[in-house]
Amino acid sequence: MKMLVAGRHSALFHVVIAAVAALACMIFFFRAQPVDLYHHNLLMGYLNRLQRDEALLGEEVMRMGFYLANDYDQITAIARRLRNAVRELRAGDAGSVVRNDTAFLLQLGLVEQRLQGKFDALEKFKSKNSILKNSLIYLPHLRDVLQKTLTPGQPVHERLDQLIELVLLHNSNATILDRGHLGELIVQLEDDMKRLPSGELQDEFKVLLRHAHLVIDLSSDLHGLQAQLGSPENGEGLSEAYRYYYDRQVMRTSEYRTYLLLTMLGLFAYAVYFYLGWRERTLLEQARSMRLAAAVFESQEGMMVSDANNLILRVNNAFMKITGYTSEEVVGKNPRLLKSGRHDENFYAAMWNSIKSTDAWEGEVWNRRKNGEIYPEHLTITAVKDADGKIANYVATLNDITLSKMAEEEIKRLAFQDPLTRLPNRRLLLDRMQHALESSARSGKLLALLFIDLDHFKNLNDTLGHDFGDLLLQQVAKRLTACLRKSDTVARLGGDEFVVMLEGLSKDETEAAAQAKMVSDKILTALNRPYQLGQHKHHSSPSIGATIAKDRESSVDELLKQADAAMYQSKKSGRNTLSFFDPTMQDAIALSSNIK
Amino acid sequence: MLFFVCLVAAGIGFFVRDRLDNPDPTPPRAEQEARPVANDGTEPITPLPLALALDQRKVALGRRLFHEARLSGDGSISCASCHSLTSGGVDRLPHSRGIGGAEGVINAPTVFNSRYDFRQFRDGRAETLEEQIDGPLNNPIEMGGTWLKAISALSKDATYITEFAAIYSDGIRPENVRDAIATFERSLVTPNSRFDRFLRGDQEALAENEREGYRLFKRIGCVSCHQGMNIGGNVYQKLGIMEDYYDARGEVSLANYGRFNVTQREEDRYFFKVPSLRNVAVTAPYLHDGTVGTLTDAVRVMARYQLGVRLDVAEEVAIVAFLCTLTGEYQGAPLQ
Repeated sequence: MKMLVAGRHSALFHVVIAAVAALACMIFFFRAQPVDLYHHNLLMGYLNRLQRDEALLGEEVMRMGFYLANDYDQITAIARRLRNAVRELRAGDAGSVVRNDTAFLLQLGLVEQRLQGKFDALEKFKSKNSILKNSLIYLPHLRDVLQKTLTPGQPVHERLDQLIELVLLHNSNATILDRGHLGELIVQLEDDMKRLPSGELQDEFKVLLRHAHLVIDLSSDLHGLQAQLGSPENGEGLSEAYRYYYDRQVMRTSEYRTYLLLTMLGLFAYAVYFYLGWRERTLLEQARSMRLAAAVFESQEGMMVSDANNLILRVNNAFMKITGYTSEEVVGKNPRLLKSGRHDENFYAAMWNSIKSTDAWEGEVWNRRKNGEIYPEHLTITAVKDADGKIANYVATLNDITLSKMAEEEIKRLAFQDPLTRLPNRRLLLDRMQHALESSARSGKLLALLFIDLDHFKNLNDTLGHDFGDLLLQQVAKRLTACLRKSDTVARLGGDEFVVMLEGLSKDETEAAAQAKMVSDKILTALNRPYQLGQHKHHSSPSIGATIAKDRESSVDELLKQADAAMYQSKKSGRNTLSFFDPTMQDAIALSSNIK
Repeated sequence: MLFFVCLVAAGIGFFVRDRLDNPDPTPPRAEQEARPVANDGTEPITPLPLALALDQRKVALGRRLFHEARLSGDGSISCASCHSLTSGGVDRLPHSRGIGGAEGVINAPTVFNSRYDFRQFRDGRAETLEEQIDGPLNNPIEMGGTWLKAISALSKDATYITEFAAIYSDGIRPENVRDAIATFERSLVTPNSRFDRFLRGDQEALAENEREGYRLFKRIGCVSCHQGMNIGGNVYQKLGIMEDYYDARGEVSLANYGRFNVTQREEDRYFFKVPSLRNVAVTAPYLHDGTVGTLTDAVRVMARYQLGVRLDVAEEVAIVAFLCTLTGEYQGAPLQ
């Protein structure tokens, strides 16, 4: 693990490393080139041409000497090429490579010097060669002309022949010339000339001697010039200097080539090292994300993953806790084994439609636990698609919402129930009375309302406290409920006030009143029995007011007020008794009870 | 991965850079040799080439500049003032006239075929035509100008600005003016003279006495200096080999020293570039001092001072007749 530090550095670090390595490669690459190939070839071309042309120049001069060439165009062109080559090496692109190499520049200077000498020599050669060639033609020609004209037999004839012979010999090889003899001969010939009558003949003689002088002077000059121009020296020293320079560059660059190789190898090693680090990091990351996924999977919510055919692949612990099934029992099965049967086919069809169209469904479902218990759950189903867009899995998360369902019902109950006695409260009573009145109006069966108030309840609260009062109220509620039919209603309005509604009584008012009185009596008896409130024995009695809803239009409020009023009547009559709101009713009841 | 990408990128970069630096490893342009027609080696003279490869835009611009008087100090003298293309490329004066009527010291050589001369000026002090331009331009008794003046004058002309810009990236500059004028001058070639046609194998191009003139020309030794494609122009020679030329003429001025003025070497005194004899019939007067008015006289002077020969009249006539066949054509018409 320790070696895999590559994964710990920032991206910038790697970029910098890569950039530095690439830069080094670049530098080494260019340093590894002894001389840029283009300039090398250019330079070599000029060096070769320089050597070749210098040799050619000597050759061409030689050809002129042997009458093998008869114009100076060729020789002039060669000189121009040489001048260009030197200029190019000195200042042009070709020489740019070696412009700082002193050895090369030294050699170039020598070449320039030598060539300048050759160019000067060449001009002299051309000028002198022209004259010499003419003089060599004119000499024998003029001798013939003179010998024809001069008197035969004179020594001048012989001397002229001798002059021509010596001059021509001198022209071909100046070293074997007897200068003294030639000088003597010329002096004698000049004497001969002076002895001639002035005129055309003397002029011809003068020209001949001039030509002889020219040949004598020029031929030795030309031999020297030819030797200089044809000197075996050429640009070899220059090529040598460049070769030396090139060799040193090669030596220097071989070092850089090694560096280049090492850098490349290093770079490769670094790349491998980076790759390994990167792979390791990726694996670690994968493992971490898998652990995370597992942790998430094992959340408080029940999770169920199924395949494309909706067969369960995996469930988590919460699922097992909620449903009661173990993983082994459900894996490979269809989730429909959880069905409670409370939902019809349409419900499930709608669910699947939603999943198909939106890839998700959310809602409450009644399901069945392994133990058969039906429970509500909040279910979320998400379809998971693969890269091709085909559904690969369904992921369901479910929450048991039994507890929250119960709480919800409790809230509903509290709205209509008296929390202390668990009897219907005033709202529920009024609601039921409304229903009862309506059904009474339809059936004609009368209903009665009994308003019950405990006597001296306030005293109990004051002496033993509210807890005991509450205990009493609870026991009263139980006794009241026990006195009544299931179809009757007993409600607590608040404090010690209870209301009992009796339904389905006789259609006859008097009979109905009697039925109400009978129930009331039962209540009076029941409530007069002593109460056990903790350690205290307590006696209590109610005052009851009753009313019969006889006219069909009587309202709920009106009936309550009537019963209330009747209850006050009972209080006035000394408590622990029943009073009817309608006095005639009271009488009729009293009468009938008397009869009995 | 990053590194390999870097490497590959760098590799591509250098490859491209290399290609840019050395676009094509073509060898440097070979020198144009002044030997377009193969000579069988027997004739010392070769004909001029019939076709030239030149940048015609430069030729056109150079032609305008060649006739541009604004290059001179007072706007009165152009190259063509002394080298009129309608009079053999010379002014036909013994000495040329510069600005303000100043008289020069030397006879103007023809501009025609000057590209085939091995050096420029009668004393050969300039190697190239480009180099030559600076001479007359700056000479106070010739054009009497400066490059500064010339460039500023040209830069006021919108036509020049656009024409230069079309050819040269850096516009109107002395080296570009030189290049254009020199390129134009390289177009001033007079091929297809009767003698050239003769050299090319047309025996009928020369009449019998003209052919005799050529034979004499070779025999008496004229050809030892006046040889090659330009019939001269590729060698220096002393004026007065057999006899002192100035002895008879008298009054030796600095201009008569010739190449001595360039090298300061005694051995070069009185040496001049042997002039081309092409179009010699239309470029009178002759010699560097312009003292010889006719071709016959020129032949006589040359024969005497250079060769030590006295020609009879028939020989002179024949040689002059031959020299008249050296007049070539410019733009399809013989030089006048």
